[in-house]
Amino acid sequence: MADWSLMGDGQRFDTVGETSPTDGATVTADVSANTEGAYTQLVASTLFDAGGFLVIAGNNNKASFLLDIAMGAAAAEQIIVADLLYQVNTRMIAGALFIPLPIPAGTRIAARCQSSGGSNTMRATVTYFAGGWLLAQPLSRCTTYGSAAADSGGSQLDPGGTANTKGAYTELTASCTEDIKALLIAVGNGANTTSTNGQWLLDVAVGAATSEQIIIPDLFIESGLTTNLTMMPAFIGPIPVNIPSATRIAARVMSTVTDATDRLIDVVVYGFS
Amino acid sequence: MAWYAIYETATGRLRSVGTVITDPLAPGLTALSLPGRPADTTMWDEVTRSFIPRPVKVLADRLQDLLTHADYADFQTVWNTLNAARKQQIRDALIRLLGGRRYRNQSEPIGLDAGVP
Repeated sequence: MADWSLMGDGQRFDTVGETSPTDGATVTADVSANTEGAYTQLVASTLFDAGGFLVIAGNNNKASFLLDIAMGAAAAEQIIVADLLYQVNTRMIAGALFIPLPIPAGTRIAARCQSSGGSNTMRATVTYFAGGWLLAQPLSRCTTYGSAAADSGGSQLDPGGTANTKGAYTELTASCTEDIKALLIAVGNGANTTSTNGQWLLDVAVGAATSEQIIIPDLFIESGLTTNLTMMPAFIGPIPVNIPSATRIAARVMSTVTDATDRLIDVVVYGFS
Repeated sequence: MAWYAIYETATGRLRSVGTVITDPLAPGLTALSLPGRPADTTMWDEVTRSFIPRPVKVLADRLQDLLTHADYADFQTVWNTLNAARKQQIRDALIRLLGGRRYRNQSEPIGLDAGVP
């Protein structure tokens, strides 16, 4: 007898945004740099209640992108995940992001982006899946901290000029607006297309300046010719955390790279509550 | 909201940048008031205890590598037999061929596949 547990999760899946012949939906940034483009519909109406979804997307241009995932009717879209950071090299998928947010059946899903280059494009699909009877209450909100609309990037972290030494903390938010139960971290190289081989260790911390307490230590990141100068992993998490609202969140990094430009990384964090 | 750079008083080493600081600061630390979030084009200088312009990155030109590096002496021998018009034609073709790989990091190998396993 097949093992079709009624209490199991993930019994149904559907992918939207895929296009012929074998690609994701094209999402185009505004003709003006660092300006949101129009929404691209991925699906007019989802088939079933979803307990979570995957976002699979990638750049078509060597630039910095911020991608929004929204739901709702055209011209009335509500963003559910804002400013997903993509600073990957051309035609490379940054990874499959698991977003632990529900989407009701019958929902229209759309995506839009902005880029450091006008009219740049991305490709994106969303794979949503149903939860089982005993699926834990999904999280209901995603709040983005540290994105920078001015250059379609993130908060810049500088490890300093001494290799293998933790740099200063950079504040991502002075006060998070919700209790955070899971944290997704995005990393990029600031769209530096002439970077170099290197490794980084990233700390995420909470607390006031100089009193930071590390909650997630030494996340390992690498970039180089083998990854086409793309920081990998580009997304880390979501990681279960317990961060109370009104908490300051900061990050710092150390690197093997000492060049004043190549050692820099961009970071954005997404708090799920 | 006011931004601060907190650094070690004795060494100038930057410890943290943000809008929420401990009050009072721990001994040995100094808080520098900033006009806003430091620009990405600046970096901390431990000597002056301030943010200074980040030095412009200098890239190497693979086209120049072909014309000057000892590894490409054979190419240079042929190049030097060409007249100005032919050199320009070759140069234009190489620029199109190299595309986005024309300029390299100073630490990156000259060869396009060198260093890639």
